[in-house]
This record gives sequence, structure tokens and C-alpha cells, in this order.
Amino acid sequence: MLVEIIQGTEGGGLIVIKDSSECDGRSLLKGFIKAALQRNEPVHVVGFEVSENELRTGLDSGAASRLVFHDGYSDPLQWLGQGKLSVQDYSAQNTRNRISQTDDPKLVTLIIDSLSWLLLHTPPTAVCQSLQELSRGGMKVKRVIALLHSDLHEQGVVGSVCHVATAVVTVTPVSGSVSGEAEPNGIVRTLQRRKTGKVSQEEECYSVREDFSVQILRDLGTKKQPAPHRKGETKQEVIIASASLWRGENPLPARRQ
Amino acid sequence: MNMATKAGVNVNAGTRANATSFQKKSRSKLVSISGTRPSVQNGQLLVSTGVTSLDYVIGGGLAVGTLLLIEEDKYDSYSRMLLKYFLAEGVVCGHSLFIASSRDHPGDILQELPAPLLDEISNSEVEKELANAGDSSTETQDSMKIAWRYQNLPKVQTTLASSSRFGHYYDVSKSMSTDMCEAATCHSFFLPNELPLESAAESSNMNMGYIKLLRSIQGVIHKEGFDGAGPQNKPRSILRIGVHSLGSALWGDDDICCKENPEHAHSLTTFLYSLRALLRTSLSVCMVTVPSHLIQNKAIMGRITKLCDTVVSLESFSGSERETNPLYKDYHGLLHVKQIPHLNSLMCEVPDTKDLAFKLKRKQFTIERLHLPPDLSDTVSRLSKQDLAESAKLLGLGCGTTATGKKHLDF
Repeated sequence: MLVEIIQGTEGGGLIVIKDSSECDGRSLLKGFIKAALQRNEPVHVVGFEVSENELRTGLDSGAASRLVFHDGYSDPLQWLGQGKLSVQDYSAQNTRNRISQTDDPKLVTLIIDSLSWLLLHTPPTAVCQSLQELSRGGMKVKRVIALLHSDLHEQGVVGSVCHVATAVVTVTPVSGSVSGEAEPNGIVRTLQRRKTGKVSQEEECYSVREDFSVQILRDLGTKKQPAPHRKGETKQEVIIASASLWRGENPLPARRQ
Repeated sequence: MNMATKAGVNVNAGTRANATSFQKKSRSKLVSISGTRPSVQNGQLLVSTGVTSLDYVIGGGLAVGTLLLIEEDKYDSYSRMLLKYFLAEGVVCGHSLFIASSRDHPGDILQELPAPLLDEISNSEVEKELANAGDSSTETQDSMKIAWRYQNLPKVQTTLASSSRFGHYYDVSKSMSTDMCEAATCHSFFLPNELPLESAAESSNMNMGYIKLLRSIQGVIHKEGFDGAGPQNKPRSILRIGVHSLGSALWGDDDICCKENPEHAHSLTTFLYSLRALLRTSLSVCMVTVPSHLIQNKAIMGRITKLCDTVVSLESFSGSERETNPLYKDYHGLLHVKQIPHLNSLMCEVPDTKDLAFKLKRKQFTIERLHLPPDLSDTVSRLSKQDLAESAKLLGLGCGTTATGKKHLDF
């Protein structure tokens, strides 16, 4: 299910990537950026935590022209007065104004890096309301993808933000021995709320390659009734390489040394 | 006849022919509004919540002038469904609607209402029966022989002309037709439209969003005459108020869901108190859904429960480990009835079981008693098959012998 969400077949809304200090979610966020750029979509990044150069490493330069970085990192307190983004300026209306400064008719994928920075400086209701306003669609923004560090906030704040989201992707570190060719980055649990009210949840083992394309190594099962084991069957884990979706790429994962 | 007009109530005295000249001296307190019926327990006027099994669980229906609180399930799928049923029932009964939401536009909610299942017993059928009864002379052979005195009298209309049926069924897969939606009077309150996003002004007692909502509801009640202020000649109706996800961060309440010890917790409680006061003095009924799983402080939830009349909590199995439990395989979740009001009485109608589970099928939202299956584990002492075979052998020897196996038979 993670791949479908990355590919954007499920449409708009707000996607929250929840990570913690044990397992970093920024590589997955870059996987989202890369997939959006590959689809020729304009991507706007509101960055507070990492610099523009660090964000652009790994993404190929051809597609990087479609990436617009709104810099909130280099001058957070606006001492230099050069018109950089500050956290006090953040609101739905201001973000929309900044996005519409580029005259691209296509709908924009908005990346927020990160939501934790905003939540530490502005009240959570303002953040939730602005996210809801942006992800409702209708004006320039196709979907919003935000990174949230869940161990920086109280449980209530994290719960409230995830309540607004249409999909929540939680990354946790992988525990125990892992078989397979590629080393996994972690375990991702995706929860998606569809418009009809149906909720689906899946847990997968994923890895992000050097060029930030996301690969699902192993499906750890959806939350459904488990199929009964047949006696002759040995428990063999199936490695799913989503090769068909990445056009022309080598289906075998690169061997990590 | 004079008494009825004095009471100012639209009683069907004109249509009913008086068999005797006896008139009851007391005024008829029951107002005949479509979609309502009096309660058999305490005489209150009840409306249906849209789900007939939920009506049964809360004591027959929702009393007019009370507040129903639904504690949302974790992903707000079933509580949203219940809200839609409630509003759809209002459309079918001809009540006015008031939809308040901070997340989805009320117009979208109105378009997603489930379509009612129109059953055989519709109004047209009742009229046909009355027409047939009129020309009874042609049916003397088929109709039952009743005493000739009574045959000439017109049939007494036993059903109330106002409500042919209390509670309807809905098809969830289809949405209500647009002309039916448009025929209903609907007032809406969408928070992002009412309140500019960047306003920071807050009153000391209540959150700005709640104040605006309360004023809006009060305005509608007064303007449309639900509090009895308007002229009496209009047929009475009920205002159904549905508020979605009250208390969540989208309503501007940044304390209750986000902090463990909120300072402005009284914002929501003051709102509920004022809302209930408005409801008591008008012909309206309200359903509020609250994301109680986000509220960190359980004491606040207790206060909220006390401030509402009927409280029902939903716990869905989706996403939890209970989904795969074979005990719960037929159901989608559990329903807990947290509180039922004592209205004008000392006792309330308590459901006979506390283990209730719900399932949402295409045509019905059913709430059933959860049956625990019998315990068939090995620890329960039962006759094993071997003992049965041996006792069968002993029986074969003769009628006189009793079949005692090697072990004691235990009952």
C-alpha cells in the first residue's frame, strides 16, 4: 500500500509521515519527492529543518528544476531581512501565495519539512486548521505530505494531527534478523482512510535505495484474518520487488556492500 | 372542538367523526408532529435516531429537547455513519436540519446521506385501504359479517395522520436523491467560512468557534419558530442539529485534545451546557460526535458525559488486534451505552444487556447482543467418546442393566 500512496493513485489529502529518533523518516520523504518529480509534477518544499543543498542531494538535476524550496532554514529569526520564510509567517493563505508566485498551471505537491518545527512554535489548532485548509484542495495544491517527529510532542498533539490526516505512515526500526538481499531501512505501517469511510492498514518492510526510490521488501501482513497454515507448506517469505512500477529500472535490488 | 382550538394544537378532531358527544375535559398535551411518537415509559415525545436498533437500545428513541453524544470510534467511520442516518431520518420525516462541521463542508455531508428504503407500507397504500372501506356495499359478500348497526358508521381512523411509521431503513450504498435533499430545509455552519483562520481573539469563557455556533443555533431556533415564538398556524416540526467532531483541534479548541491538563477545558463544557439549555426550551434534538479517544484527561470526559443526556460510545475493531479474533468475526465493533437520561422520572430504561456489538451491512446498521460461544476447551469435563461406546455396549446386554461407563456420568 505504501507504493500506491507514493505513486499518488489515491488522490489528494494529507499524508503524515511519523518517525522517531530510532528510525529516520526523511529518506522516505525524499522517496515521495522523487516519485512526484518523476511524474513531472511541481514540488514545493517548505523546509525548516534541513538546508536546501542537503535536501537536493541524491535527486537528479534534471528533475530538480521542478523542485521549489521555500527556505525557512537559513534565517529562522529573519535577522538578515532577506525575505526568507519564518515560522511566524506560516499560514495557509501565506503558503498559497508563495506557491502561486510560480506560474505553473499544474497542481502542486506540497512537502512540509517538518511539521514538528511548526508545532513547537505555533499552537496545534492553527497548524491543524491550516493543514486542513491546504489539503482540502481546490486551489493549486494537490496533496500535502508532512514529516512529524512523534517523540517531540505530547500524545494528544500527535493524535490530533493524525486525526486530520487521510493517510498516516509510521516508520519503526526493524528488529531481529532479516533475510533477503537488500538491507531494509525499517518497517512501515500505513493507515489509510478512504472517503467512503473504509480504513485499511498494512505493515511492510521497506528500503530506500541510493537514488531515493522506495522498494518494498516484504509484506508483513495486513490486518485481516490470517489464512490457516497448511501442513506441507514451509514458511517462506516472499520478496516483492515492485519492479514494474519503476519503468526501465533494474528489477534486482542493488547489492549493498 | 372548543377545547382543542383553545389548546392551540393541531388535533385531527375535524376528520374524526364523533361517535359520542363525550369530550375529554383535559387538553391534549401530545402534539402530532410527523416523525415523532410519545414514549410509553415516560410520556416524552420521541424521535427516531435513524437506526431502529439504536432506538431500541436507548429506550425507544431520542426525546425531543435532549442531547445525544456519540463518542467516536478511532477513525471516525461509524460515528460519521450514525450522524448521516440521523440527518437522513430528518429529511424523510420532514424535519428541518442544522449541520455544523469544521472538517467537511455541510453540503458534502448532505449529499452523502443514505437513500431510504421505501417499503410496501407507504402512504398510498393506506389511502387505498380507506377508499376500499368506503364502498363497503359492494363487498358484502367478501367482507366479514358485522352487526348491521356498525356498518353504516364511517371507519375510525386509528393511525395518526402525521406519522405512518417510526424509524426507517436506509441503503448505505446509494445516496439520497437530490430532490429529496433539496426539499428539506437545511441550515449549515461550516467553521472555516464563519471564522477567518487567522483570528486570535478569544473570549474568556468559550472558544470563538463555539460562541459562533451557539449564536447560529439560537438564531435559527428563534427565526424558524422552534421555541414557540412564531405564529401557531404553521405545522410544527422538529429541528435536528448534527455537530460533527466537536472538541477536535479543527474547532479551534487546542486544549482538550492536545494537552493532558488543559486550562480551557471549560470551553467545551460551557458550550454543552448552553446548548442543552437551548434544546430544552425548543422543539429540537441534537446529536454531537466527540473524538473521545483524543481527549487525554479522563476526568474531562466524565464531565462531558454528565452534561449530555444520552451517551453512546463506539469502539470499532478495524485496525486493532480484535479484528482477527474469531469471537468478533461477525461484527464491526462494540457499542457501549454510557448514560441514559432520567427524564421526568426517577428511573430510566436500562437495556437488559451491556454487551452490545454492531455491524454495518448495506441495508441496515444492526446492534445486537454479543453472545459468547460455549466453552468447548479440554478442561471442561465431558463424556469422552470412549466412555459413550462402553456404555452403549452395556446397554446392549439387556434392558435391566443401567449404562454406567467406567467413569461417573456427570451432568
